[in-house]
Formats: sequence, C-alpha cells, structure tokens
Amino acid sequence: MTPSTSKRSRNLKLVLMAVAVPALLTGCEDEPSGKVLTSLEECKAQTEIAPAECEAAYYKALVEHEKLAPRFESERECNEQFGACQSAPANPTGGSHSYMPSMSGFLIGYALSQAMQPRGYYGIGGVSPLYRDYRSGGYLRPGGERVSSNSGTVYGKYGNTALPARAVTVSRSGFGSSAAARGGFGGSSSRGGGRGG
Amino acid sequence: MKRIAVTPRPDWRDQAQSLGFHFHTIDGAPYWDESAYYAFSLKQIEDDLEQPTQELHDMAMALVDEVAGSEQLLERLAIPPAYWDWIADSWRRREPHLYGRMDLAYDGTGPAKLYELNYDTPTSLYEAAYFQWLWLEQSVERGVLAQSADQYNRIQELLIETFATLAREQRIATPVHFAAVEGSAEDQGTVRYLRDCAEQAGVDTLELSIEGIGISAEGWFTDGDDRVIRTLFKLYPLEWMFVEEYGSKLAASQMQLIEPAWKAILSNKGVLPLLWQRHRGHPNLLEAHFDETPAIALPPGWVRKPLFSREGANIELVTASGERLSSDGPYRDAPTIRQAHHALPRFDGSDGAANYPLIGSWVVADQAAGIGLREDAGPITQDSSRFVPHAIVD
Repeated sequence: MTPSTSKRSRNLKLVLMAVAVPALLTGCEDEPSGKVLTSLEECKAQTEIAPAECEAAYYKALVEHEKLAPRFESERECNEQFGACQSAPANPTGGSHSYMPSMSGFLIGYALSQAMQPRGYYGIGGVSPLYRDYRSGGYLRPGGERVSSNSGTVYGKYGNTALPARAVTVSRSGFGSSAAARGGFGGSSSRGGGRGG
Repeated sequence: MKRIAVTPRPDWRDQAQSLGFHFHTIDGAPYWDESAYYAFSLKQIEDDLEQPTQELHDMAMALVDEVAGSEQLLERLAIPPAYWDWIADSWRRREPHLYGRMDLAYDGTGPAKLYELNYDTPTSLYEAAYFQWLWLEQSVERGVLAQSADQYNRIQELLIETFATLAREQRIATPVHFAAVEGSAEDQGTVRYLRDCAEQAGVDTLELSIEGIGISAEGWFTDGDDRVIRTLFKLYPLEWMFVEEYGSKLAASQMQLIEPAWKAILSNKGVLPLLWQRHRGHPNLLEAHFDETPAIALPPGWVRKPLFSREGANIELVTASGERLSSDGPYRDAPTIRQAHHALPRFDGSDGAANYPLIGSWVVADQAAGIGLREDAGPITQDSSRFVPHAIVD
C-alpha cells in the first residue's frame, strides 16, 4: 500500500484539548458578502441588487430598527455617539432607556448560494439597520458590531446579518429537563445507542 | 477481519489524560481498550463498509426529502405536528449538517447489516477520529504494526474541512456556541473535541451547557454573557428539545442548530421500516416494520425498538432459538418498530473470552469517513462496551 492510497489522514493534531496549544490559523475572507447603503435613493443607483428587492430591504431594516436600535438613558449621551437621536417607543424589556439614534444606513447581506455568482443580481440573505458612530466614523449594527467605515460592498463575515450580538436574558434553563428526568443523556450510558439485535 | 491481541502502549493513559480524553475509563471500568485490535483487509473496508455506508447514507438522505414533505410520514414517525413546518423549512433550506454514525453488524464476510442510524447526537467520536488514529501512528512507529499498516479514518480531517467550508461560505455564524449537558465528562469531551476541530478550521467557538441556555424577551437564545446564540452545536436530542420549555421558541428564534431540525427525521428508528419499504431486500438492510401490536409478545427472530430510544434502552430481543433478552429504560410509552434479529459476530480473545464487535461507521457532511468499533462481552452492545481500535493490514 502506498501513501497515496492511504485510507487515513496525515498529521492530525489537537489545539484545544491538548495541553500545549499552538497558534491558530484563520481563513481569508475576500468574498463579497453584502452591501452597506445609506438611503432608499441609493437602491436606484446601484447594480448588485434588484432595485425592488433593495427597497423592500430598506423597509424591513426600518422595522428591525424600531425593535433593535441601541437605547440610551440620556439624549445627550445618544447624540454624542450617533447624533439625530429621538425619543424611543416603549422598551419591550422595560427600563428607562428612552432615546435611540435614527437609522443612518442599512446592511443587505447577500444570500450565500449567490455570493459565488457575480453575474446578475445578488440574492438577499438578510437585512440589518445600521448606525453611524460619530466617534469612530463607522457603521455599526444594533449590537455594536462594526460593519464598515463607509458605504458600499462588504466582505467576509461583515455581510452576516443574522442576529444582534447581545440581548438581555430574561430566563434560563428552558432546555435540559429531559436529561435531568432521565438521569442524564451523557455519562457512562451515552455510548451512542448501538445495540445488538 | 481478525481480532488480534496486542500489548498496550505503556504510556497510553498519560497520553489520554494530556489529550483531553478523560473518559477512557468510566466508573472504574475500562472504555478505551488497546489490548487487542481488529485487522481488516483493504477490500473488506472499501467494498463491505465504506461503499455501503455511502449508499445507505444516500438512501437516508433521499428518505429525508420524502418525509419532510409528507405530513403522513411525519405523523408516522411521531414527530410533534407543531414542528413539521420548521423541520420542512430546515430541509428546504438545506441547513448544513455535520456528522452522523451508522451502526453496522459485520463479520468480515458478506454484506454488513444496518442496525440503526445515530444521526442527531452520535458519540464515540473523539476516540474513533483522533485517539484511534494516534494509536495506529504510534503502533507503526514503535514497530508493533508493519510500516504498511493503515486505518480507515479520515473523520477528523473531514470535520475540519467541513467547518472551514461552512465558515468560508458563511453558512454558520461565528462564534459558534457548543453545548452539552452539565456533568457528563463524555459528552463534554465530545463537544470539546468538535470545538477543537472548528478552531483548527479558523472558526471561533464558545462553550456553554444545555442548561445554561437562556432566552431574551424578544425570543433570542442567549449564553451566560447575554450574547445571542446564532449558531448552536448541541449534543442534545432534538426530540427532547421539542418537549421542553423552550421548544416552542426554536422556530422563531432564528438560531441555527447543528445538527439541524431536519435531523429529527433521521434520529428516529422509524426510518428503518421506511427504508425497508423503499429498498426491500437490499443486502445491507434488515427487514423492519412499524409495530402495530406492541402489546403482543415478540416472535422468535425479532427485535423491538422504540422510535426514540437512545443508548440501547428499552430494547426487546428474541433470538431465532427463542432466547429472550431485554433492556430497561425510560422509553416505555413510545411507538415501536420491529427489526429482524441479526446476531453480532463473535470473536474469541486469546483468553477464551467472547467478544461481540459493533461497527460505528461515520459520515461527515455526506461522505463516508471512517469507522470505530465497540465491543461487548455479551451479544448485545451495552453500557459496558469498550472501544477497540482497528487497522488495515493487507
């Protein structure tokens, strides 16, 4: 048997489980993954996304904005970072944070299957409102993650519109009761379920 | 296929400890056992295990496609109706999956027979993918095995490759959260190992317990630091999540699960009769039927399994000669299936003790990837089973 027909991998290692931890590799991120736009008008002036879908994305971002915009206790504090702040609708989680910035842009994330197809329009994978941070000059998502310093195409992970980064936890332990009731899923009995017969 | 006694590496326990393999001995009983190994020919591996694994997997995936679109079949599998749309949608979007393990009975000749699929929460991964590989490499190095010895095992390589691909194509959100139940060294080891593979692929990871998952007022799942969980690898049965407090929040949460919702179809023993109906007489399948009369005593030559049993619980077995065996467990009220009894092969050790090996054949992202063997002193693989390494020797 020659190595070229080997049925096993070469040079496996562990990095987390082993006691000595070598440095990690990171992948490169150079695929266009989305686009930052600053207004509804920009939908007409661009060629990557179908204009009608782009407009629909803008309105969807506005709805998300109502729900997700960062909130501040004081108008001054809000304006210092974002400017154009206004009174916020009642906070769903309660609390006294009653000022929020205006939406100053929106992110359209490209559908993954399409990111590989540069011909025609990109499909839309998701939408997120964006806020211009005056202190750093960048566009931030509601959870504070920086997407880009200016409008236009974004690459790699920055087109990910999935969910905000943080949310206030109101309850815990809603999963796991079956394991407790059955004396655990793991432990010495979880050898994988194989059984002769 | 032979069982060959061999001297264990003198330092294997120290190595296990330093490599995060803390469950090599469970409750004082050995789990990792390198006092023997199973020797295969390349032809046995490729023709009798690898190729059928690929074929069975492809059959299973075709079945998912059919079941996801059929309320009648979803009902047949006793999947709660509240989750049908979510499961169908998860399949329609082809939400990525990582891995699964099928259990095969094989004695070195003739077709391997599929006992069952473990496609939602398969364990014995680390020992098959990494520690077994290390044993082979060192056994060759130390001259215990010939230079030409090999092993059917690309599991870890394919896991890393899959994580890298999912990240590159942005089909997972990072950091990926990994969760196992509290207090299980084995499950935590498995999850830590998968994190290790993800990190090697350049994917950022976080760890929490299943019990530690929280929820926000908006319905987003959160970790202990109020970070929203976007992609969750959970070593926890989907059908348990369905009936727990947060189950009803899953669909709207936008949290991506790995294994995904559509795996609920394949983690269900009902796929065995469905596969048999569609591929009657297939050499790698055992005859199986939905059990319409679960109260009636099982005739000789059949095994009764609950749709949702795990870890070999609540199995009833009657051999062809009428010997009855059964295992206890918590799955008493679930619908059951019947499967033709096909005995595990027996390989006697040099000490004369009987050993019954069961082959776990791994599939990673739709590719047959490698095997791990668990053997037991009795004809039914139980909690007392031991993991024994394998090699390809000719």
